[in-house]
Amino acid sequence: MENLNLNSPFTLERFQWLMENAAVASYLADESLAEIQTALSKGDESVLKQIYPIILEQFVSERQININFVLQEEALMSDVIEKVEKAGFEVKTKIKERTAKIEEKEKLEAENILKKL
Amino acid sequence: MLKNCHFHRGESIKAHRLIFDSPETAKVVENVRAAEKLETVAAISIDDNKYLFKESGEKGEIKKYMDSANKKLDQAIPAHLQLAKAQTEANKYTSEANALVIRIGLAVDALKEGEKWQDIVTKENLTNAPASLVQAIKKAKSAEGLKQVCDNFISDGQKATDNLEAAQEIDNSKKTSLENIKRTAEIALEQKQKLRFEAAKKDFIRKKINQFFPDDPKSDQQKLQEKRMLATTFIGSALDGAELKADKKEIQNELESKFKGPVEHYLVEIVKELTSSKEQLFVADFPDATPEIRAYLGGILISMSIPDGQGEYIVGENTLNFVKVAYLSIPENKRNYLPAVQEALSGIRHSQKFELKKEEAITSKIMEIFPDNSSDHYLGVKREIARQYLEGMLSSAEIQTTEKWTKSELDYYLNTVTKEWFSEYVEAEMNGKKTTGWRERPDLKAILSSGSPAANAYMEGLIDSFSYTNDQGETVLGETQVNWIIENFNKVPVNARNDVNILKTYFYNQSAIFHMDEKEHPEMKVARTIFDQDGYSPALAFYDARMIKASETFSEKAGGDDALNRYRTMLLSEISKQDPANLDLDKLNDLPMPWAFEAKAIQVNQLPPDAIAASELPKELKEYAKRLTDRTGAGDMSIQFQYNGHVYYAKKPPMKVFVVPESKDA
Repeated sequence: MENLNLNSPFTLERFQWLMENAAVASYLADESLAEIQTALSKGDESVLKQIYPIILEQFVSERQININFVLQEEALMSDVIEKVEKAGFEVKTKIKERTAKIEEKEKLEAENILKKL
Repeated sequence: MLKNCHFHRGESIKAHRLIFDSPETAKVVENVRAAEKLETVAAISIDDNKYLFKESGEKGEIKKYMDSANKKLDQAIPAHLQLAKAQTEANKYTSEANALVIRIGLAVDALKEGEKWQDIVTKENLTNAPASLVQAIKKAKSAEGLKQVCDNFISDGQKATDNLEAAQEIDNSKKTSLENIKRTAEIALEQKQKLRFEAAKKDFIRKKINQFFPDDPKSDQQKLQEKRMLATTFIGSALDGAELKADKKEIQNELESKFKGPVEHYLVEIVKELTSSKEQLFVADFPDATPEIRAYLGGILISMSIPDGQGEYIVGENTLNFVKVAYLSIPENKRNYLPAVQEALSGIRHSQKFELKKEEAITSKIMEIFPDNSSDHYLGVKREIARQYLEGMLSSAEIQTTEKWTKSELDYYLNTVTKEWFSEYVEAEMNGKKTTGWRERPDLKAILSSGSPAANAYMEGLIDSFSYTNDQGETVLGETQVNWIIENFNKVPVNARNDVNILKTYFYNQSAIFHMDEKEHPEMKVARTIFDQDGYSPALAFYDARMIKASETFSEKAGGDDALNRYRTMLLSEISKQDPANLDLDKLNDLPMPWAFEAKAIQVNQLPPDAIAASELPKELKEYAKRLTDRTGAGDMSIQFQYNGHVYYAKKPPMKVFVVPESKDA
């Protein structure tokens, strides 16, 4: 569906799309849903035009919440990933430092043994 | 990523094997394996989260996402505890290994000096050393070879500890991320529920309008439209007091119950009156209001009316005055602008209902502690002091929108007032004697010595309401709030400090700063659960203060709600990283102020040509810009931020601030 906004005018196609995608069944009364079905089957647009602004506004606002949520979550997740990578980097560095220390010690001991020989 | 890090056991693996055959070593190895597994799980889980959140976020199924985050959080907690235990064991083992190595070193020296092995074992306490280790020592051909074995032994133990530390770090991040996700999802879900409730309300009103004002081709269409418009405003206003519900059936029941009764009873009559050429409805009370505004005010009044027992409803004098005062508080030029009127009056029903419940709770507490007693000549005085104290204490109570939460909120405060203590307190207050505790504090004594007993009792109740129980089980005062009380008390004129009504008005209005309306700001409820479940914490005070500024900064701007939400998320995320009991205030103060939240780095050569150096800028703004550039490390870049409608460019080094005229707003 095209990018719907609060100014998108009523069309039957848009209305049907919203009915399928805007979770209307979770808040519209059963009575209203039945009214919509009857109007759709009879092709009576007057009822649909009454309900259209309500479900359009709800859909657009809810979509904005989803977008905000996604943005906020992305920010939170990138923070976590950064931390994980930092932790990984720190442990790698520690291991590297320890290995170098041991190697250096071994080298010194070998030199000492050679000197004694 | 960490999962690519593995152990480097090197060439000496054979020698290690001898040592690592022991049961203690097996435990370390097992822990390391557990840690490696956990870090892989953490990495996968993060990828999972990203996928799930994208998928469910796009489909709008935030609840599903929140449930999943919750489930994962539940799973993460045992793993988290297990990991902490493994970490302790690994540390213990590393330190034991170090001690053992020292003893082995001594054993090696003794062997070199020709001592007998059996004597060395006893002398250096090697009886419990792993058999394989003892064997390695016996077989060792040189001291150097043995030392190498020891070094590797320590090194391996330390690597195990490092890996566990890193795994724990990841595990903590994972846990924090899941908690943050849960909170963000809760906020989003609450916003969605609110929207759905509002949409259901609009549909409900639509149906009622069709029912009470049906289409009639024979009637005057313009008149019918006018009636429908006024009826929509009237019903909408009457339903403003409906409680937010999430379930569809509950939503319908709630709306229907608010509509039935006086609203339904007077709907047609009121609309007819308002559209009549001779209409006088509410004109005496709101003389300059348009019919639309009177329809809105009428909706409030009718929904707050009470049955008169003869089939009609009456609006109480207090209710009418309450609405009048709120209406008159709107600037004159905005009194006929519906959004302004709605803003001023939308919370009025909840606050009035809450005030009534508060009053009932106070009376009931007083009657419980000071019941009727004809022989007590001072009963009236005692009750009055008790009332003022309880009113002061309940000034801190926050307006709740449901009966259940109202009761819980009032009980939270009133349960701290026990019969024994309160009787003593009132008696002491009446006799001018102070009890001990914070009342002895010099800075608070002044507050309690300048007023009448009633005024003192009110202030004491208010201060007591800011006390809480700390981790040690002691009752302490919230210092931020107490300082706020002292600061504001000093602003009350000296000759008015004994007038309890002046104090009440003054602190009631001021406390709005401390209690942002949760109806208007549902995220406050979430914030409260994050920062301090028991009361008003300094973290929450900080959050409140910043959010008040943010609301002022973003409210007038296009896209202000988005900016406000993003700012809120940033604050919640940053503050919740802190230990509530030990706040790092410097760090908090360093968080971006709202006007600079959207600050962005731009190239210096992109500075507008008419940017001028501002020598007269407020000191705080200069300091703020400096902190901003320091934190972002702007270097040869410039930071752009907004303040009071101006765009500023801060650049370092040296720190310079440029001001661009308002017309150049970005």
